[in-house]
Amino acid sequence: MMHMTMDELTVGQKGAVKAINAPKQLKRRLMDMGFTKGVGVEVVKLAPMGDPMEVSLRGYHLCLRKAEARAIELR
Amino acid sequence: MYTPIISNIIVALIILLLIGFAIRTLHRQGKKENCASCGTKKNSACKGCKFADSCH
Amino acid sequence: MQTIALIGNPNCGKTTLFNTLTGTTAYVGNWPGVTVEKKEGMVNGHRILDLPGIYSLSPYSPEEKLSRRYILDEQPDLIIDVIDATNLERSLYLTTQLAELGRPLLLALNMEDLLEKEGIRIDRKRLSQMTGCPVVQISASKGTGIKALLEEIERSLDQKRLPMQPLFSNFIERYITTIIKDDYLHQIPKGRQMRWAAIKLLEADELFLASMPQPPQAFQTYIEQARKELVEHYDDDVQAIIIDQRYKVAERIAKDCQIRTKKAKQFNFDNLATSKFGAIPLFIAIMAAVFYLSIGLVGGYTTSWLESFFAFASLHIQVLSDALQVHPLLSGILVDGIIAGVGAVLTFVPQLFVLFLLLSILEDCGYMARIAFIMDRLMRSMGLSGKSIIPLVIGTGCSVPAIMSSRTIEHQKQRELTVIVTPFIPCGAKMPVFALMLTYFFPGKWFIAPLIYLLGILAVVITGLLARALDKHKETNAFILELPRYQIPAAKNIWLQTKDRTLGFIQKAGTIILLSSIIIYLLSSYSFTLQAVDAELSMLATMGRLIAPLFAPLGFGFWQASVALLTGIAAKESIVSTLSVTIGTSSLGSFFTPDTALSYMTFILLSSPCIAAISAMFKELGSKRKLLFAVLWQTGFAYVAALLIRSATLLLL
Repeated sequence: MMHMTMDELTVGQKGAVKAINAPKQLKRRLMDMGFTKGVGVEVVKLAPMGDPMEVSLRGYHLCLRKAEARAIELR
Repeated sequence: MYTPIISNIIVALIILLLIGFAIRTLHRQGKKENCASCGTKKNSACKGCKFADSCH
Repeated sequence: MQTIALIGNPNCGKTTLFNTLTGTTAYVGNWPGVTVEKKEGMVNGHRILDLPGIYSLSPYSPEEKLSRRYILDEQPDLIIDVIDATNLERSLYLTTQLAELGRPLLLALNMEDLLEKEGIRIDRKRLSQMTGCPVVQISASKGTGIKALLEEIERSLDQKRLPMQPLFSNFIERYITTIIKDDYLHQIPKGRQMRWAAIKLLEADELFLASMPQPPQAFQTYIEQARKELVEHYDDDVQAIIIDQRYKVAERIAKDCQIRTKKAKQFNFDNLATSKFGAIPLFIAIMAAVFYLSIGLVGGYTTSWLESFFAFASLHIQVLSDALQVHPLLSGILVDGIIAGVGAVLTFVPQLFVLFLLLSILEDCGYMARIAFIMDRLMRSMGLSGKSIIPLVIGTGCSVPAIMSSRTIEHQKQRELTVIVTPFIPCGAKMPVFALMLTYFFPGKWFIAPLIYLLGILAVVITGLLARALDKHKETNAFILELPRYQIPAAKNIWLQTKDRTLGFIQKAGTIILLSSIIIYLLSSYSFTLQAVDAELSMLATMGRLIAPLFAPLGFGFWQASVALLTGIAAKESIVSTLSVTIGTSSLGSFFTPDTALSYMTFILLSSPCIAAISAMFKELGSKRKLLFAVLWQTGFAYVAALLIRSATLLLL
């Protein structure tokens, strides 16, 4: 079964969060920022070197590294 | 006649005043745990972070 | 006297509101035991506290723990939740947690001036209904709604109404209700609400559990069973479930109270500042502009003028003193000590003023976060964080605030590495000696100045790469960063900060430099038998000759150079003032040569910083051992680099 994760999205692509697969601390932080099950995310842009990425969710924008975005599984 | 004495006293006083002021300022800084590097006020940039309300 | 707590997400404008409300009564202190700022002030005769910006009240980071403990133990009479009105849904997540703490809650929707621009409309009445809290719309930066806020504060302090409790799904509420009924909850510490405690028990919140006695076996079993059932039902751990529930509440409220209309895409500076091809050139251009304007332009004009002024002043004062038959000791202290030493430093005030001004604007307008975003990938390859670039930029002004600002880096190793490399960047205090050497030995070759910065950056890169190569773990930390809105910084803030830092520089000149110049003058004019002698036979020379040989390989093994370096420990500006007193700025050529001048500058650039910066490093690194390592690394690196530079220069010239 193919799992798509948020780091695989390119600019303009959207997705909905399915699960967060991360160690407890990172998971909690991501969830605190709003990455909960079902929430819609969209990639707004990538940094000049391709990483980090800026995404929009819940009406606001957030930057995070691709390594962290990989923890966010989408459907 | 007295000029040399007076002028010497004046110069000596100036020097002592400058030294006294310097020491007093440093002493005050030491007590406040401050240094002039960021600024002279209490609220200067040294204390705390400027870029995020939350530091680590 | 009643107490108000101000709380909210980072970047919600809380600090601006706090400053507006408290005016000059604000006071910055420290929370005992933590390195978090404590900001207090007075508003309308009430005490108000600005708690750190946080996204959540979980028991992990020092800021969250502090805010939570403060609210529960100190029991403020009112909590004002400052909400970025353009970010309602996410902001309400914290609100749901605040509502459970049992204190009156007031919602301040800040940044109302931006609502129209972003096409958002909020129904305040509905929001107030759904939360059970009074809602006031304000713009702290524009100053609107403040009067209404003050009125509402008085009303809330009077009525002491508690907010409504956000309710979770029925499935969860069942467990909560059962837990509340148990006798165990009657033992909760004062100020805690039962419902809040019940949720904490379900979450197995460590902080809460530590404050409670061991629960009876039956109750314990029930909670464990409840947790197990929750995990099975929701297919997730309990903490995640609760976070999810809170966001569902936030979503529900936001959906009901907020209308967003899509606005046409406007031009955003970020289209350039973070664009794939424009971002880095723009960054370089901005930094180059900062240095050109301050050191190149203003510095170019004012330095020579001020130098002539001090030369003029010292000459005339000397002549006057001689005419008035002032004792050479006194006139010597005044002219060759104080004026020579302090004057050498004061000539840099104008350009540093401009530098501080530009850096302050840069810091306050929001661009720094973009720099962190752009540079993160590059920084990480050097064992640093994107956020490390911020201290490096601030360090061009002064290392002390730069080192302090490394606190925003969450990862400890990255933060410590940042602290160690930040002093490699030339700070304002080192400029006088560079300028002196450059104009004397390399007149007209202005391109060497940027090379000094490049050398500092190179030192950062090399150290970073080495650290990364030696790091076995290679773990990284979360970078999660919210880009704050761009804003035209408040002129008053910029002015105050610039004025403050500049006055600080002048104050250093009038204190440390003044005293060290006098001492150096005296020590270099008299022998141990207190006879007036030539500098070469003076006390200072004898003492200096003890360490001078260490620097012989670097080409500056004469005592004047070592002594100057030693005075640099107090403040780097002292180096130029000491050289001025011991050698005289016009006789540099008798002691230095182009290659030794470069090696001297290199050593000064890279060796450990002034005592103020060292103590800042100590505060951030936390241990004497780490500090020692930092100082040794910096100084050792400086020595080797100076050696290499000297050899390279000799080969090339």
